[in-house]
Amino acid sequence: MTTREGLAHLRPLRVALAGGQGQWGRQLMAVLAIALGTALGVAVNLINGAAVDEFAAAANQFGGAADLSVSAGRDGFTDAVYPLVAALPSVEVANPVVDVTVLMRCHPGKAQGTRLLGLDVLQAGRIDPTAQPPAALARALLNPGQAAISQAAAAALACTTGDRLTLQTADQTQIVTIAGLLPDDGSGRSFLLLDIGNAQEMAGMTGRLQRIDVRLRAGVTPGAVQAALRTALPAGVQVTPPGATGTRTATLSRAYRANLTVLALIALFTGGFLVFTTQTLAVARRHGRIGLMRALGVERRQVLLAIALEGGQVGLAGSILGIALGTAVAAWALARFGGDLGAGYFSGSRAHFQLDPLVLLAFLLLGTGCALAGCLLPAWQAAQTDPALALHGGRTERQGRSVGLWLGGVMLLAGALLCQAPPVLGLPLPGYLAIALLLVGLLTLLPQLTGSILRRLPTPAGVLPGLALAGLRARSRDAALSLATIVVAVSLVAAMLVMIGSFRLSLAQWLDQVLPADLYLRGSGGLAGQLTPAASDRLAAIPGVAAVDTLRSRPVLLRADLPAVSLISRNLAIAWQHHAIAVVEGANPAGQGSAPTCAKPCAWISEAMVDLYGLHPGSALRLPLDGHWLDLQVAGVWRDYARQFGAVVIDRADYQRITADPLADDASVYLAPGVDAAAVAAAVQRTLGEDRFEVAEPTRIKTVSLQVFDRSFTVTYALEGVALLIGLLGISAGFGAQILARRREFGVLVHLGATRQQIRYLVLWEGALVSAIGIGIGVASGIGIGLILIHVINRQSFHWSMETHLPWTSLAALGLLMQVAASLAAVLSAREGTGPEALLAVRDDA
Amino acid sequence: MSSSPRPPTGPLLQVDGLCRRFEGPQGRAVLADLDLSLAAGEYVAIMGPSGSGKSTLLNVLGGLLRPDAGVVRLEGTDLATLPDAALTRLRRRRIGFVFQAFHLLPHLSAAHNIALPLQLDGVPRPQALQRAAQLLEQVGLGGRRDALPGELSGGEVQRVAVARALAHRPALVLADEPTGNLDHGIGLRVLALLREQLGEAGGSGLLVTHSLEAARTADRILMLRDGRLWPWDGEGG
Repeated sequence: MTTREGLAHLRPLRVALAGGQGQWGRQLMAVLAIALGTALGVAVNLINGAAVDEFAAAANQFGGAADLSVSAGRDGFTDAVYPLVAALPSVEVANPVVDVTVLMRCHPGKAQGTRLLGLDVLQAGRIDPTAQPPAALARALLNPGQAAISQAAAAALACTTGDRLTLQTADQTQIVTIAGLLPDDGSGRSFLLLDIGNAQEMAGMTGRLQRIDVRLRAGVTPGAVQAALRTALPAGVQVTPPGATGTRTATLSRAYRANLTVLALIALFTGGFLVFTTQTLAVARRHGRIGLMRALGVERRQVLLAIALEGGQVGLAGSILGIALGTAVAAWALARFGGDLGAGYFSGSRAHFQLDPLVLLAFLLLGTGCALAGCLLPAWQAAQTDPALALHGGRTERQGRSVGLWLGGVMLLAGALLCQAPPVLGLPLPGYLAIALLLVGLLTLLPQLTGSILRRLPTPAGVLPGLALAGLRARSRDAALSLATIVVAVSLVAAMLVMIGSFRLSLAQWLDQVLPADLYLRGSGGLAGQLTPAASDRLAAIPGVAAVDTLRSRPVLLRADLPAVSLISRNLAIAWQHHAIAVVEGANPAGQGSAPTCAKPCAWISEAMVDLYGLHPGSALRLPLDGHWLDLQVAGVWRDYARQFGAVVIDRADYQRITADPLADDASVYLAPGVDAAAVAAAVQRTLGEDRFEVAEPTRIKTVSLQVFDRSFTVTYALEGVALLIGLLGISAGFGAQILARRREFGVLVHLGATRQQIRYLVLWEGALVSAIGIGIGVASGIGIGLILIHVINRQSFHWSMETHLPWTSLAALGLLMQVAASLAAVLSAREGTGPEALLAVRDDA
Repeated sequence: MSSSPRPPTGPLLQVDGLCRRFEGPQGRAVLADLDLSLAAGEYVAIMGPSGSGKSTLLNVLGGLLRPDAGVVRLEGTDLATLPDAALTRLRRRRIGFVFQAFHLLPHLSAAHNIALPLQLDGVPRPQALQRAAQLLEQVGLGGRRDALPGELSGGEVQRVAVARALAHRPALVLADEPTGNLDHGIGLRVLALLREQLGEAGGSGLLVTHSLEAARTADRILMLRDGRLWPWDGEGG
């Protein structure tokens, strides 16, 4: 029979098999499970895609048609670089940029942190036409104290032409006059535009620039100019294509997005499993019909195709529903929470919803593919139906094969080896693959594992438990099929419990350690939120304050493809005294009287620096700072849950000696014994200004941090619940399929005088035994997967370590809950095996 | 094992005016005003064409189906008056079944299959297995007590099934085409064994069969036709 003929005959076959699947609730749940996984994947990718695009666009704003961008992170570089760049013959236009956030106030009232942009207003349009003010306004901006304001900023600050605007930086207050409103370009950007010289002065950045946007002459390749400039530029100044900022921005959230996408794929995986169990049950229900079709001349491959198409339909329906749901959720979530789902990566960005056909197509294929994969085995089993046997109510027994043993073993071994592999493209792809191999390997080994456990169990005294165990021993392969979904569900939930429990405990312990002070002060409002020496002195002089540890945090760009590293300078003597740095490796002077001796100034690096830059205690570290190289020696490694792309801590004195930078961004305030923290907090805000600084007690920071932590795992908790439900539906469907296949056995028991109650007890015993084995295996593998999540996935994603904490109480509760629910699901499934059909099954040979 | 004492007088099984329709609103009457009387120790064969209701009759007599009308008395007890649990108990203690397809549980050994009805009735496992061993000796399978059904020949499996039907010393054994899946010679040997064992146990037997040769092993032969039982007239089969 040709393929065309085969397909032509498929329709009557599908008509013959239609309607016999039964359990529309289960079919619907399978569709919903696929829809859920698809929706999550679509939503996560659309939301983050929009956010990354928007944030990258914002980061590159006014870069327009630039070919190259010269930059050095937030603190910029000396404007002596500008003539070097502009003088290059291959450069057509070089536009200097100052881009900072300062507190602005047009009228009495609360000031707002707003973007201050400085450009060469006469030639900004040659790089980005939208940044070019009208000619008259541009000429006006050349005068000192004149600014143009965007429509959005004017609306936010209630300013208009002619108003005087107060600009507040760390140590100065400036006044500018609004010379005019910029034309609305439809972008909604909120900023104040000054000519570059005025901007430098107003922002307190005289002699410094944040960026130079460069357009090259026609025919010049950017690579050649990059190479030429690289040697001429001061330390830390990078020349990159404008997209590099966007790439770094995307890198910020890449691991987070990848983890959410993997979570979506896991949801799809469990959905595929539900399709598997549902289709297994559907095939069992239609065993006789399939046998009849085979007897009437339908080929095995046609049966296989017909059943596979049913799974495909479930997948297609689920995928389409999921895409619609995911798109709607993405549009709603972007409007409601912003582009980072509250994770804090893109705060401040105004992401706009847009459909990405590639994402939709990918998840349409993934959802349908998962469902198809899920129904392949039942379809194959259906195709193996022996027509003669099926017509007499018998079943084609599958022969056990030892192939699963070595295949499963190889997968487990490969998974274990992959755990040792480094990340690929900065993502823990080998770790994810290791988890997938562990799960699939375990499922492959499940028949042997289940059989081995069942054989080792002592035979119970009671007739029903004994009968249950003997039956399970004989059908360990079928029992393993029922177990598969519950093993997967319990594994995933147990793994998340282990990982989240370990992470939360580690975070709580870390917060306890790194927040020893009585009050914490953090700047807000951009440059205005920086502590000058005078402000630090005022802070220290507040009654009740015993000591102040001021922290200066500077972003340092070490690699163009990675976000900046934070260089933190603080009073290490105070920090060590209070054990405020969580050292995990190397020198730990906490509680000691003296710091270690280093050949260069000592630096303590976060774990991310070990992972991303290959540094270790004893390594030399060179950081570009203000055009100079800062040479340090790594003394130790500390745990940092706040910055996933690396941080370096050095002593404040070393920092100030090298940079002469007197400013600070944060402060830890230690109070004298018995002093009321709330009273001092109020005094701090009175002294330093409410608009510019936030003051918080450590308990508040810990509470908020843990709330943020819990919120960021909300999606995970919801998916755990769904996974458990799918697991229960799976075991119910698995038992349903087995009970249908065993109706004759139950019929014989009825003939032998067994009551329905006894048969239900028998099924309950079987359900309880199988569930206990499944839950045991699931918890054990869940702990294994949890360890991979902790020590491989999390470490490679976020570059921080955590202590392993096995939440036995939660795991026991999970086991108990699933044990009761799965046993009940088994008993409910027994209804179908104890009805009049059981008697008919025995009679069918007379 | 406990068993209800049989009344000293009257037939073991008395069926009067039994009616039973096939399932469904338009179900055809398969048993119509059927009467049957079976004395203690009597062994009767019932023959009839396919669809005549032989299996339905056995299920009604075995308490697995309830009659639409009429009375079925086993040892004087009207089965229709018994609640489901009591009917199950009666079946467990007083009735044995032998099937065409044997229906041994494939995962239990021969001895455990025989012991199962006793265990379901609360007999402790050692005593149940002891009885099973005794029966296996009687049916000539003393050396195969630990064999699984899959390891036995068709005749051996049916001998185990006969032993299982007799394990609880039933008053009545209902055999539904017990030789249908066996070779001719083996089938006759199994029937002889059934007859012999029933005789030793003092039980009665009702054999449903298509085979006249099998039916001739019984004390008398009845034909099921048009929903009623008729004495065999010596023709057909």
